[in-house]
Amino acid sequence: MSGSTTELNLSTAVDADDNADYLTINLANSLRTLDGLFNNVTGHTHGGAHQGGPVAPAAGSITSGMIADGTIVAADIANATITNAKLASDTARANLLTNGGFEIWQRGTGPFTASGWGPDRYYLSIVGTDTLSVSRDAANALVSGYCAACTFVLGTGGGTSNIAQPLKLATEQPNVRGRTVTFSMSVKCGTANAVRLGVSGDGGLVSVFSAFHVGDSQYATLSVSVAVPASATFINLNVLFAASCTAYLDNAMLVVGSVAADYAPLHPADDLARCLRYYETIGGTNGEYLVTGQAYAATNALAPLRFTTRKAVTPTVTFPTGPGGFQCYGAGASPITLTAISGGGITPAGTQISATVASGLVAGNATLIFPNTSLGTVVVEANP
Amino acid sequence: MSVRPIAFNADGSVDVVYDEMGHSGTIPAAEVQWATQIDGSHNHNFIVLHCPDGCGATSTWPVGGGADATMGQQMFIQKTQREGCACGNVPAGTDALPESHVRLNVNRMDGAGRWVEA
Repeated sequence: MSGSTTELNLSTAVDADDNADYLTINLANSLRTLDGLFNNVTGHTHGGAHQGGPVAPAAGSITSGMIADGTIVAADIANATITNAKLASDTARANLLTNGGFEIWQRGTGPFTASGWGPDRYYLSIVGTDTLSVSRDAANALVSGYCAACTFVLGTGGGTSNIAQPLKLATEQPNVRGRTVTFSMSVKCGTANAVRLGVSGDGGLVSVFSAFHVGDSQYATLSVSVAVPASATFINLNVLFAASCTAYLDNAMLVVGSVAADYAPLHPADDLARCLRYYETIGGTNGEYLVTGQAYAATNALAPLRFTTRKAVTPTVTFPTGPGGFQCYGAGASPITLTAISGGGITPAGTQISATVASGLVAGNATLIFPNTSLGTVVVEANP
Repeated sequence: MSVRPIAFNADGSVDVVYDEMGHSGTIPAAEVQWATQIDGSHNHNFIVLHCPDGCGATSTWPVGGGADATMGQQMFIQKTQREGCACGNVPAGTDALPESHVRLNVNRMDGAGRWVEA
């Protein structure tokens, strides 16, 4: 009698009297069984992992740690498959904001302490008994240039006082509608839970907020993403103040997508050009010829003034000094101080300057109008 | 910045501020003037405000609202309701006509979407 192995049921000799059958029958069969395991006839290809063949890991089982850093090349990635959510913040993207770096302060360097416009395209909304003072600041700017230094004292505002950049989607940036955008800004503050970002708007948009700055007196990038409703007509990109503090704001970005983008400074010409779409000061140099006009009476002249940049809407035109800051030439190039000046026929591209003098013009003659003081400016303001 | 309206009073006067100089005050109704054209007629698309402080600053406001759509448009509505429109087509009154006329002019100047609901 023979025994058998447990796994393959191979025969084993048990005692001396079964040697003959064991050797001639059972052992032969056992060897055939073993041979069959390594025979192509049975499907054995020597390609299995246990035989040193290629490893075929289960689908989805390869993790980042199994891939050597820096070995994945572009050819390994299918075309047009990298989504915005996979981008790091240092992937440069177009900034939809104006004056994101707080570099342009055409209305002055502050302090701005009342509700109204401050740095170009940023509007202060001071609620209740809160106070907010915003000034241009170089000492605390991130990297270089300027930032906005904000000193806030909480009163009854309940965390709603803010400085914000409004975007008019209906008339200015309609393509933002129906997209997810991310608003981010570098903020430095020494008070915890005092400053955060928020996005508000209409069209059913539910206001969303970033986390508060932690108050470690270091710059940190706050960000908040929002899906802008297709019916929204505006959104406000807010910096909200909820506790008394001094905060520094710099490097704001608004990008399409759900991932914040690091601030990418514009060329200064482009930075200024964006701001000039909404606010512009013309003149301001004593003796600089501002416009050439035509006298149509001994006391009146008209002159067309083209703006440097076409405005977002038909602007308000202001002469800060009034007529006293301007002169025009009479027939003999003798300067005549104006007695009245105003804008008229204003379009987004330019304005007509209506100048009045006591006497000295000749109807039909040309005349030059110019500031006679550095304060003689024309201020053009269009806030959509 | 502009000599800008911040409040409208029952007598037609307008409270204004001129942020740049820190000036503020009230402009009497009679001094809230339509812009004058070369032929001496008034233009219903523009209103001229002089700083009440006497500094000489003057701002010409377009009916679209210029620097402040809400207050700028409202200034035209208030003036038209009180005096009728400079064009002569809309009489003074508090019915819907003055506001509708101003809204029409806003749309003509800056396009649909500029109008701010009062």
